[in-house]
Amino acid sequence: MSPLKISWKSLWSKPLSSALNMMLIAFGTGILTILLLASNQIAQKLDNNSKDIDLVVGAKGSPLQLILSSIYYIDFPTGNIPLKEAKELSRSPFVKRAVPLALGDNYNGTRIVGTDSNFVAIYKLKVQTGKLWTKDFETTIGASVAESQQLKVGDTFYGAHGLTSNSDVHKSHQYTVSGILAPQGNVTDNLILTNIASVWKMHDDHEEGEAHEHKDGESHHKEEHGDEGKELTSLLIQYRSPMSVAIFPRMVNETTNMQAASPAQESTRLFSLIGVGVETLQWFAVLIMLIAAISVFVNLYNSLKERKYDLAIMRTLGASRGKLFLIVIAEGIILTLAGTLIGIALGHLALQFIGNYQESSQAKLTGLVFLKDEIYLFVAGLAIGIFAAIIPAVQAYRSNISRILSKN
Amino acid sequence: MISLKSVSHSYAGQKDIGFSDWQINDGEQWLLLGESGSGKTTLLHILTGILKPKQGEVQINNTSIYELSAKDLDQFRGRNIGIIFQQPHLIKSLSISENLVLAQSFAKLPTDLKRVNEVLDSLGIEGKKSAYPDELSQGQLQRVSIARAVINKPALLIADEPTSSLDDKNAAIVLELLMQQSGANQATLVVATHDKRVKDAFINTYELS
Repeated sequence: MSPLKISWKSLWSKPLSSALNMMLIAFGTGILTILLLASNQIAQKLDNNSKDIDLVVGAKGSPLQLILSSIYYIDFPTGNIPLKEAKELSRSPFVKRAVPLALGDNYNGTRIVGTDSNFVAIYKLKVQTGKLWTKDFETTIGASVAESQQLKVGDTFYGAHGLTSNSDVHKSHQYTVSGILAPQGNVTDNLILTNIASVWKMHDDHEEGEAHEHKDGESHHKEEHGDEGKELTSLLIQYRSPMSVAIFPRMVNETTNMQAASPAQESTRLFSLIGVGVETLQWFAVLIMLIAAISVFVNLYNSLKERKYDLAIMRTLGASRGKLFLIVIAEGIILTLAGTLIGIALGHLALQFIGNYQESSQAKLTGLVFLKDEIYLFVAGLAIGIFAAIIPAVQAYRSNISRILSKN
Repeated sequence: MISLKSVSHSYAGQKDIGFSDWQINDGEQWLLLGESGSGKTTLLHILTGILKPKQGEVQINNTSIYELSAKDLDQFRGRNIGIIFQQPHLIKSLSISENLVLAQSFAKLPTDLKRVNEVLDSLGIEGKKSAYPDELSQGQLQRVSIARAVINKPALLIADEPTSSLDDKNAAIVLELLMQQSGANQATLVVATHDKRVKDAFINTYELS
């Protein structure tokens, strides 16, 4: 009969206190697992969405808000920028590619984005079924949108004014689904793409007037003229060379009425804000683990008092000091390791659960991903077990069996 | 053969207790008599290799046991000495047969379930094999502790006040089982007691003064 089996049996003989200790450890590890997975996935998603975008130009306001609305599609836009100025910037020698964005409408909470072929290029989008939008009011929808809104190629729907609400529906024009994108693993899965003119026309109807005159088929000259009243939400910029970083944002901020915000910088800032919360929770989890360690220690220490006669008997049966040491330390390690494993499993389960009930589809979390870092949680569990059991184990090792047995 | 030569022991800050020399031949059955505080437990612990005396030598089957390393002594004890205490002290988390297997494995002997059954059978408790110590009566528990002491066929079987917590009927049964088991396993038997009910059964007596 191995020391491990003896420890195992001993734990099973007091299921309540063993379970309590295991739960404490599992709770602490569970929280750490969730934090680890969630922050890792959020960071990855943030990076993924802004991968090839060096700068966002939009109306003055909060740079973070600009990034949130134009890269992650979560906040409201800062305002509009004149199309004319946006076009000038696009032609700047610092810019390799500029993607115009016109936001303002939604379909059942999914944002409708007016843009052009540069958007497809910058996100390297591929079409799964159908084709990309070409005419006004044709749309190409993200893979998740097709799934969640149950739209197929050829289906039609009405957009609603605003970014979330369904109340103010644009009944005058109908959108048609012309294609569905292949899943990209980023924010584009949750967008409805169309051309900018469609977004403008939707809103022209509200004002009912001059805009109608500048319709399709107008000359280049006329179009130039037409830019006057027209506006965009923002412009996604890809630099021509790394040198642009130093000059271009300053140029935008100082010489125009617009602001430039760097997704990388703002994402870092955003993550450091989240980081404070994550850190607090981490300390909380570490505290729980510490309490668990103390609880395991007290449990072993107390049970050792009751069991010292048992252990002395084991010595008279031929067990060496080393064996008693192993039996006691194995109890601590079994407890904490089992707790750690349960905790990691619970963490994954909980995150998967959270992901399932998450409303914002932009940053859906999943518990089905395993990280290398989780091995550290495992190691921590082992360390806590050893830490909690070492004193009782040394006591078992040192116990004077003659004295224990004579105090019958 | 077991021999005790010029053994004396003292606890910290107390007077020396000297023990007169003692020679026990194979298969003999001895009674160790003495009042409480006369050093009976001390002598038993010295005999069983769990208390190293200040002076003197203890030999069991030509092995001077206190010259062994700590680890070897533990193993020697497991294989050659069976101890029965006043209280049975079985491991509560293990079943009866597991308690016996535990004794085999601590002595570094292979698990022998046939032997476990044989011993339990000879003590009339084979039906309690899978039961846990909590489910047994005091008399049954004492039988199990005898079974545990003889499972490895020890050369020396030592019982420390085995009957003092039992009623007359159970005391007689336990004493009879001890005699019978030491005979069946060819083990030398030493029973330490101040229980007068036991005295008549023994011819050899070692008395502490």
